[in-house]
Amino acid sequence: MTKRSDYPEMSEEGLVEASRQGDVEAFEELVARHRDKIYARAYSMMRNEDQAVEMSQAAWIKGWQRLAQFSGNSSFATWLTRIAINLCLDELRKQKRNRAESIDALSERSGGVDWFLPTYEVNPTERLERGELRQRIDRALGQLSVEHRTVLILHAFEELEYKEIATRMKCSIGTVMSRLFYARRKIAVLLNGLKLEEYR
Amino acid sequence: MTQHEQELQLQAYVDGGLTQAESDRISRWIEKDPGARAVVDGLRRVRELMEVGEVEVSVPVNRAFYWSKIQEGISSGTTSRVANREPVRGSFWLRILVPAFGLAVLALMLRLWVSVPEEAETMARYFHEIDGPLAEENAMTFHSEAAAMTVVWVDSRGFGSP
Repeated sequence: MTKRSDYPEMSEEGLVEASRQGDVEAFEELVARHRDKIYARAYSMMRNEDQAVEMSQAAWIKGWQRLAQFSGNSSFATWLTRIAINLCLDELRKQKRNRAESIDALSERSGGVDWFLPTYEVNPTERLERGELRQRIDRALGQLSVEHRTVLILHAFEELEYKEIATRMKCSIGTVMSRLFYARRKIAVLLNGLKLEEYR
Repeated sequence: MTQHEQELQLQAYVDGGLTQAESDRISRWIEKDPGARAVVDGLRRVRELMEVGEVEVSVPVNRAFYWSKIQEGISSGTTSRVANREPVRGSFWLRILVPAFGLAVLALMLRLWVSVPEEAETMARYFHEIDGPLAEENAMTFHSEAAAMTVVWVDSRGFGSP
């Protein structure tokens, strides 16, 4: 029998297999290893700490219940992140039904807006500079509509293709492409420190 | 093709979502069209920016607290999973037998309820005045089954006589 002190030394595959056999402590170790990653994805989508905690916890519970379905084609963390994304999308859909969302007129208006591009020189060795840039990107993401932000996150950070994003977001590929285009254009404008009103 | 459709084609080009033939066509187009070139450059630079990555965030609650809710969900989920894994066998027969059993219990209760007056009647039969053959002789008979005795009282003067 595996001792509790052995879990931090165990491989991810070993922990997943033990969890499949019903070993809750092995699963707890998986949670400890990846909880920040799962929470970060939930937070980037929900933009709310409490909701992100709740969604990420729900993802872990669902992950436990579906361990038998984990095929190992992707890493365990990627698999669980997909579960978290689906839960967040469901929650965002529920929230959308409960609010009257106005479409950002500028962000979905075609043409007439130039690409004002950010001019950052990123030096990967300088952690602080990179961190600051990430902060600015994050603030810009926070200013996008839920739909635009979600598409951009799924494409840029999760590296999902148009088709898979469309499936997950329950919309057409054309809609995904359109949202992605406007999201990128708005990010370009926001990261250049320009006020949107100037370009209406 | 509308302007927006053209923009989406340029985006698909940047994202590598076109066939080789389509990609070659876009390459030729952006060489001639500075506007198309600007859109492609813009899209590429945003892509590069996003590759810088996301802010690093951590769960804002401690490990034990975070895990406790997951553990709670797992425990309740496990119970329901076990219940789902082993469905109640013979549910068809149970659907018939359970109401039948209920009816049987009801019938038994009714029977007991009805039997109470019957018993009382029986007891009354044991403890009552019996008009015996000596009635005209002004005699009364009392019989008790429980006490296994019969008492006959004879009044030679006659009842009701002064």
